[in-house]
Amino acid sequence: MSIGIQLETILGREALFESDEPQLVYVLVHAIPHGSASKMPKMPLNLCLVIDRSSSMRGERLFQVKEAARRIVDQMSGNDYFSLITFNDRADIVVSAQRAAKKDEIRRKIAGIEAAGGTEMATGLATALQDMQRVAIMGRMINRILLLTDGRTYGDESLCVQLARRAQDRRIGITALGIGHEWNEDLLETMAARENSRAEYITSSAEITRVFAEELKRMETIFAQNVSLHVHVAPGGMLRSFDRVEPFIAPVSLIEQQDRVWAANLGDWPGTDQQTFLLELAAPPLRSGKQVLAQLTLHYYPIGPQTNMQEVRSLLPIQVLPNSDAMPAIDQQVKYWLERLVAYRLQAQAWQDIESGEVEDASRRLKMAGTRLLESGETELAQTVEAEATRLLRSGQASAEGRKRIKYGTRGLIGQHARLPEKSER
Amino acid sequence: MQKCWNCDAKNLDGTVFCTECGASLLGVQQGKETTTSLQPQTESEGALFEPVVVAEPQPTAPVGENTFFLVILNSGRRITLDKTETILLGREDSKRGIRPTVDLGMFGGYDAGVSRRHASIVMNQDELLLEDLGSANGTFLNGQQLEPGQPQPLHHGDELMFGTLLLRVEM
Repeated sequence: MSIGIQLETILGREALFESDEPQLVYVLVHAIPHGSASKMPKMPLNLCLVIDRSSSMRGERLFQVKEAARRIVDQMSGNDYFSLITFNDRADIVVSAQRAAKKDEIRRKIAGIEAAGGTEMATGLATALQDMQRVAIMGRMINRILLLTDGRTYGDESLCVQLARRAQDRRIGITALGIGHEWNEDLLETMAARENSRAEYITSSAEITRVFAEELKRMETIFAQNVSLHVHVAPGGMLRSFDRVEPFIAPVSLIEQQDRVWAANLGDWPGTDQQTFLLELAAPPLRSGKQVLAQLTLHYYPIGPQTNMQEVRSLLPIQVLPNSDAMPAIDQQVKYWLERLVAYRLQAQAWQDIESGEVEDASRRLKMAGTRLLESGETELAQTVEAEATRLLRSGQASAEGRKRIKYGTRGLIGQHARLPEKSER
Repeated sequence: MQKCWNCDAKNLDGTVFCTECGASLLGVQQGKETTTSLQPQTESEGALFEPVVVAEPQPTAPVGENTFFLVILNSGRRITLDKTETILLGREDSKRGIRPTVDLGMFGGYDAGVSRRHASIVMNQDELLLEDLGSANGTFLNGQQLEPGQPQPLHHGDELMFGTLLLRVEM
């Protein structure tokens, strides 16, 4: 059975009006994996856990981390590589990169981890990178660092980012998990700001096992690598923005590679996730009739015996109507994702406003983000946002917890995945 | 181009949420009619909705006998309504099946504290009656809060407030 990625596009409005001005067109692109990744020869995994064992991890947190690590080892096959590095004021190689074969021995080593000391993340990352690279160099593998921390690292932030980039450039993805309210979300986000990487917020230690297991599952189902999307826009048009909205909201960096051809690098592709992107396209002034706005081309390298580059194309036609009064209604699915994306952008802008001392602007943006979230059905998150907007006006600052909840909640990166919109309605 | 009713930013036609402030531009761009009391447009390329400056409402040109208008003062949007219909004012909530005749959610109703089922307007013996439906933040007629369930007659030029959202009646 063939395995591949299928493209489906939904226009924000099914038609445009004839106009002498450019118009904004929203396009939702579903990229749907088809075929089953489990039927393919599996590519070996190279997973390195980098665990904060500073004294604040003592108790339930470390207990859950150790439990989650044990389960991961249980689930890995004998061909996969596992390593575990802990860090506090220094880094320790608890399990050096090795096949997950001698599971009892590995489990024993995990059980011996104890919490003490401070938080120096860079040494942990450097040690992890060095250790897992010995294995990564041996062939095509799915490499990943799973970093978990509950605190702030002091003084070595820029080194952490440098190390993350070095890893990512060598096709080692990073999942950075923050737990509790103390960790530095700016740092984790910067470290994870690349395709193949993500930062996630764990609100309670009870979730650690599930999040670890999901990450392993995601690695196991990767069926395509080096995925990229090219958007070739009609003359006079422009691709204004390109954001991932599913499985979580994240801006994708765009490069105008050639004249009117924008390229987005999307990294590795796990078969567990349908990915959805929202494009904002400025259409040139158009005459009535059927017009083509753009052509989308997806490139990817499948995993398995057939490894040459695959290509999927999709045209984006739109009907242009003579000017009249009734604008076609906005598609409800497009509106749902757009509303959430706008909320995400507003809150991101609000934190920048706070940095530059514009507290009132920040509060206003948060309030609007709350409205957008409420209207897209995210009642609980909307209330958190509203509360922070009020707190901001009153005290001039937001709470650490609220900030994290909003940052990660608006992206759909706390606990549960984003709910799908109801497709009915109007 | 269209101008955001909330922050005045310019947006390309077709934009759903203002690029600057995130306000919903849905519904606003379709209703291109303005009230007679609106300030003249100051920018040639179509400032559709200048903020309304307080001015005496002028009776509008004769329209159908059964028609009256509600003007939403923050956006200048004028909504044409039928006197013979029962009009529900509130905020749409499709999950709960609430679809008001006038969805104030599109005009900042949430921020202004408009309830989903806020108020109603019905015709009774040639009089339009406004009734508060037990809204959370109250319905005000010319500054006086209405008792829930006690309809009051409406007249041309009356000022209504739902929560903090201001509207004016034009007949």
